[in-house]
Amino acid sequence: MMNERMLTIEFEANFRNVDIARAALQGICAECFGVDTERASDITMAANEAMNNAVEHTGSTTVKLEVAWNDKELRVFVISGGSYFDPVTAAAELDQEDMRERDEGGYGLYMIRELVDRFDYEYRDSCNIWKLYKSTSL
Amino acid sequence: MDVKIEMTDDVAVLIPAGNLVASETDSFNLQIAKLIENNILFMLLDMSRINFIDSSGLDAVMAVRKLVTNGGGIIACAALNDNVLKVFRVTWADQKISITTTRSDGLRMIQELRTAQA
Repeated sequence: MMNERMLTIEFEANFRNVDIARAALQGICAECFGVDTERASDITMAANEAMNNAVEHTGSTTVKLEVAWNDKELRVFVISGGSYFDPVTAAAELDQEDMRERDEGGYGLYMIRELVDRFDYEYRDSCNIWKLYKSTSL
Repeated sequence: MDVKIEMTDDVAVLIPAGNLVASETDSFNLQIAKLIENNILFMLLDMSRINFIDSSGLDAVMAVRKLVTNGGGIIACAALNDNVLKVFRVTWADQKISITTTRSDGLRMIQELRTAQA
């Protein structure tokens, strides 16, 4: 059986706490990805965007960050309350032409889409669950 | 956020330090707004002390770019680390704002563009 580890952080929804959660994730990524700092940075940036979105747009008072990792994969779930919003569909609708013409805004979802290996969404028990995946082995 | 400002030949060199992220953009924007109020429209953002940037930080940079260029000024970014540069590349922001490898390259480029503008 694959050895899997997990860390869960639940925090009051504000950007200062996102900074702290990101620092914890950076530590995990350093362990998971070793010298592959680019992949570590990719998933950290993507998770940061997901947490920012939860703080800024969902109206949820708390945000939960669940990180699970093993030899093959790192999974990051960002869970918040608030109304249904499917970021995967919204991100899929952003194309390169949109991004080239865009002056401000909308970068976050596009970054997530481009920086993770897989991006899923689930709405369960009145919670938005953003699921980000990055392979730890190439 | 700590933003050091140095003037070099009428170009404001801004040196923000730390992470340019959602929790810091209000402070960053406030300091930039003061420069623009004072009609300083030639700016180089020296990013050598920025470790991490998110989409809010990128938004802040692109908002400054809009203000500066709408006022007839010139802005460039210099000395981005690999992670920061990747954010600019992934979002195509590197096609909208000039990026140079070093601060001196950035200053030279701004001066050349100013000369061409005159």
